[in-house]
Amino acid sequence: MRSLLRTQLRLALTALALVVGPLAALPVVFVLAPRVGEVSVLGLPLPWLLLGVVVHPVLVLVGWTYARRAGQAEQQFTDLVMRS
Amino acid sequence: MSGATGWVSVAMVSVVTLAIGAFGLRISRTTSDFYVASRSVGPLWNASAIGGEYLSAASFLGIAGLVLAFGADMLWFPVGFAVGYLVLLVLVAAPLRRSGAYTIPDFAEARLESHGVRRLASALVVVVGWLYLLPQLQGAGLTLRTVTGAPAWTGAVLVAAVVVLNVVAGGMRSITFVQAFQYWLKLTALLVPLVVLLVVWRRDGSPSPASGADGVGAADWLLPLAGGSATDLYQTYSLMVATFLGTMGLPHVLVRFYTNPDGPAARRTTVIVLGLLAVFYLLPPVYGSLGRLYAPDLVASGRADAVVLELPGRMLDGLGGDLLGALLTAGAFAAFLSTSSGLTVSVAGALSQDVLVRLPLGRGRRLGGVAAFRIAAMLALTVPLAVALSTQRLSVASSVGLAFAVAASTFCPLLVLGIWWRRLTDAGAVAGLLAGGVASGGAVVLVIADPDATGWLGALLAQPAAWTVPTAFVAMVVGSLLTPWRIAPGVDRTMVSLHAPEALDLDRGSWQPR
Repeated sequence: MRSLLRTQLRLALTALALVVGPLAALPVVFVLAPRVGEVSVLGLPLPWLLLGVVVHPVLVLVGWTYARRAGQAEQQFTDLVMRS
Repeated sequence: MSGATGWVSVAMVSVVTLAIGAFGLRISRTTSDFYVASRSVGPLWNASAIGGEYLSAASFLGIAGLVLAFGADMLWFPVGFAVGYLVLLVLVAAPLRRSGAYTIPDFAEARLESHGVRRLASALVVVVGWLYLLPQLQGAGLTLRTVTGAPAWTGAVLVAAVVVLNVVAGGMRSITFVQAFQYWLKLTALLVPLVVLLVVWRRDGSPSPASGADGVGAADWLLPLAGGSATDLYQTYSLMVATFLGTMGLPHVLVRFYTNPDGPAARRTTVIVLGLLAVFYLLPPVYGSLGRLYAPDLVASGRADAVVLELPGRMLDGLGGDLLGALLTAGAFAAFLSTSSGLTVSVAGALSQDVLVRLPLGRGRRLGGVAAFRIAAMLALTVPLAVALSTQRLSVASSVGLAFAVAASTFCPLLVLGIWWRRLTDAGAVAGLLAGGVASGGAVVLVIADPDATGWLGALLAQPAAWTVPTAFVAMVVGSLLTPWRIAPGVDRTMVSLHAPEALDLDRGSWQPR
């Protein structure tokens, strides 16, 4: 049981780090290197592209991967307990 | 837009909402249906319902208004509203569903085996719910005034009346159908006009929104944190903390997870919600940007929140503008109705279960569950309605931001520590809830009393989450470590029931939600 809890917590924290880490870095980047904001990709300034568009598919992808992995971990745990 | 089209669209949304509610009423019969819709709702329906409930006035009107007025820094609002669901998915969704609790007070009681924590949590549910209902009702007033010229109180009263009728008559089952319908209505209402408006914008030669003249200067508007000041940076981070961690603590959000059949289904539903929100949140910033070109005067007149409603009439002549404006009005009303309904159900649940059914009526009688719920639903709306009618308004999105801050400072530590840390005690939970609640609640009271405070003090009060959330966590952890003998006796069984897959036949304890 403890090992399942640890696995799930590790999965959760990995997913959070993947999303929150880069997002938390952004404001510092914008302040330290204001020129980043002037770069424009596909006609949109980079901050608008990242915060307005890119972040959303990334969230769905991370969420979907997490849900799959967490389900697999539970399945393995179930198999283990059933066998013993 | 002419007043008549506005009235027609408002009336249609209200009637359709009530009709779907009445349809659901035929199905809902027992007390448990009133709260949780019998757990027989499919993942897409349930996800649409969660999305419909979550996308409030702040999402539909507020974000566009803030982007219009302040530019790139405000993009953090939609980002935070969406990331909040990822945090909820990975930390809370499946264990909460498995706990069998459908409200935060239920969870507190089941996990900590304490009535005191339950009652404190109920009180906080009512506070957060009222705080979040306030901007919904104010937004309704603003909308109705913008599209019909009617005085602001009519919109608030209309929304309150429709919600009370629906909640009192149908409970949660009908609300689930209504909410799912509202998500798709809101998405359509925002998407279709936007396509037309973007065509008009192309025809005008695709001018850059940054060139709009009024309000903040072009560079400040276009670039995040252009001033580079420390208070701006603090506010950005504090907003991130509040929205990332506050979503899980909104009372109307968690109730929905009980309607999933099991833990994995709760996860699947949440992933679908993330997808639905991703599509929706692409849209409001575009409205804000177009507003800077076509409706910059709204900023100076303090009505930036109305930009979504004003744009069609300003960019298109005649019938086209009228019809699209009517569609947007319908979407905005759907936002007020759906979020207010969800909040009302939650606040009413807390009030009826923890206050009203305990009241002695004389001769040893007490209120029955359904009667108590109906009375509580009316109470749940009357108080914020009275406040909405009597105070001057903060901007819609900033008062929603405060509700998120209070939720993040109280329920987030309770849920996260309760689910993942077996040494949490009831005394620690009370310490954390009080510390976070008093700190963030105090900030809210001071901000409402004086919304114009500036400098560091103003920043710390307007965006309190960055210091109140850590305070609550520390108080909860220290309080628990100091009272190790108060760890709930059944904690090991509870932890098994929170985390073990449903397929396993284990001792999960005997706790049942009331």
